[in-house]
Amino acid sequence: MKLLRRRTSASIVRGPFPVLISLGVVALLAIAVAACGDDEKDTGSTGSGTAAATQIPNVTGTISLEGSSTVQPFSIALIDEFAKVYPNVKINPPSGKGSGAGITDFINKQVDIAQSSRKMKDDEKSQATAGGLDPFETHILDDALAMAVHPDNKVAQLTLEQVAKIFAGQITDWSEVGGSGGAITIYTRNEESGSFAYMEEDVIQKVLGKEVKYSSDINKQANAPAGLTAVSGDPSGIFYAGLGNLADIPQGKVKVVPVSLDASSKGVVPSEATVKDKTYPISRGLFYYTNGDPAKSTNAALKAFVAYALSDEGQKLGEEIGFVGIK
Amino acid sequence: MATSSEAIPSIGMLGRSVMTRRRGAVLELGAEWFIRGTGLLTVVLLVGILALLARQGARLFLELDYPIGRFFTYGNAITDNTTDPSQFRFGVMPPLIATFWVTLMTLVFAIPLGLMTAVFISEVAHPRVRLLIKSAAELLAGVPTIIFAFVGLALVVPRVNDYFGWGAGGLSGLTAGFVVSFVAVPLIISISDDAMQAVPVDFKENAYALGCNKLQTIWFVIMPAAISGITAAVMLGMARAIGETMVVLILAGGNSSLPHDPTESMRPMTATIAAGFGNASEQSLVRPALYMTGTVLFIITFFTTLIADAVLDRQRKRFAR
Repeated sequence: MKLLRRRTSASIVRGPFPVLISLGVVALLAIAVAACGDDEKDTGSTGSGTAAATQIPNVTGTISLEGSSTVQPFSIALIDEFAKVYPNVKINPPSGKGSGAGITDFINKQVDIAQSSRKMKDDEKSQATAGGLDPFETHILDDALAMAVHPDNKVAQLTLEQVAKIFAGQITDWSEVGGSGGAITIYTRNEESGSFAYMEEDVIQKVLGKEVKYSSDINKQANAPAGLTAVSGDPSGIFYAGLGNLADIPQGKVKVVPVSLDASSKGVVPSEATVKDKTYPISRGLFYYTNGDPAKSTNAALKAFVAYALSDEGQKLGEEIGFVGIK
Repeated sequence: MATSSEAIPSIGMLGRSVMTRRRGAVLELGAEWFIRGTGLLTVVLLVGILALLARQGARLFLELDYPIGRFFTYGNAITDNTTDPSQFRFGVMPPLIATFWVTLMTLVFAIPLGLMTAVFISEVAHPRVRLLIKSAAELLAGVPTIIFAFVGLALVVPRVNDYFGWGAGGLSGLTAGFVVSFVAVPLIISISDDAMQAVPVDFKENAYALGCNKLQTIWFVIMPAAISGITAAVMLGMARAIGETMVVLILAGGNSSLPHDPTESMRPMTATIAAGFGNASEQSLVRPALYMTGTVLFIITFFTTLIADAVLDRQRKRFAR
């Protein structure tokens, strides 16, 4: 006992030397952490090359998807049906983070397929090419971007130009477009979303010019249900959502405003028919982005999956959710 | 070894081997460095996190040519995935100010509520009531904050919109701050109650003996004596508010431009990072910009804690016996 106690007390008071050592250790570790920070390896690219070109029923392999929350319900339904036909393929389902997020994961080689509700930007394409990828676009379905407002809003219809001006902040009061509710509160998705980028690039900038941006006074919501909920409680609000997303909120909680191409024509309600005959002005394609043409891919699982999305069964699934088939 | 165990049962295995095998010095040195290492680990983590964040963030200015002035002054924080510095519209000021407003609002609601509850359960309430409230608070502290966000969305947002018309349909920094205060309150209650319970009972008895009533005793004796614990509680609550992500992402409104007052829709730093990270490809400007935002957030929390420590130290000296 005595021995033990003496040793302990002796080891406590031992001068400044151990302190110096410990400080040195801290500094070394800090440097090591900082130096190691960047050495991440791209191990995410799964599946490619693991499956040889075999016969269809024996297709094996792994594919992963990420991206648009608009495409999300379609991808999930497709994965369920696909798994019944191709039980040997393992699919990592997407979480629906947003088109931008999916494309970013694709660029970072973390997923095989980026599901997107907008076209890939040139900037993103060059990022992918710089990383050794060959982004290939497969147009899978069509969709409309519906304009949702509060049910009490008296607005009867909007022209495409008015929609663009509202989101660009050039029209700021509902009275300017025959609506009610006072100053317009704009709700959008956040930057990860394909709808967000589509509205800026294919509506605002196409109608009002390349230099025009979103209003600086927009309220970015994390997902479509959040935006729809916000509009359902705000008489001055406006929000946009894909056709498939309108099912996220009970009918009657929001009002979908008809949109016309110009002031002289009549407003068109977004629906399967009006997207198909191209009379609804704000319709867009939904895409799967893969590395190279999936039809020629060495990854048999990937090839089969994209082919299944384009098959009659796949297209029918999309139409059941509320999208529009491309055929 | 087996025979000696009856002789000295209280020392245990380690002590026995120290005594019987004379390996004491080596063993003890090992144990000592192990314990010292666990202590130093916190320092290593602190330095390591800062180094990592700053290193990733500095790329924005050093490699990707984003003007440093623009990063600190630009009046919006748009997390577009782009590689073109002239197209990238991101400044750290709007999220920073938004974080400030939400934190301020949290404290405005949480400090009175938390401290009054703590005083009540510590000094006024029956011990059984105290136990009930304290356990409830501690359970509340464990509820995931997303639940608070949903409750806020269902109960607080429509009322803020109907009665005040603030923010975007009731989504504002104030709404978020109000709901975050309920995340912070259990923490404040629990810790300041402990602090007040730790005040020696003779303090109270002396105060009563000198003719103080209950309120005077609480205000002039117990609260000053427990001030370091109370300050620590408030600081922890504040740290919680600065770091809270889910509630502000859902309830603060999501306007990424500069908020001028707490009733506006806004997007604090944590929400900006959470919302933007999905867009942050390796080559993009977003990624280092978000790391830089994280660095700023880290430095702010660091200095908040430092200031809190300084305040605490002063208070301790003031009330030192």
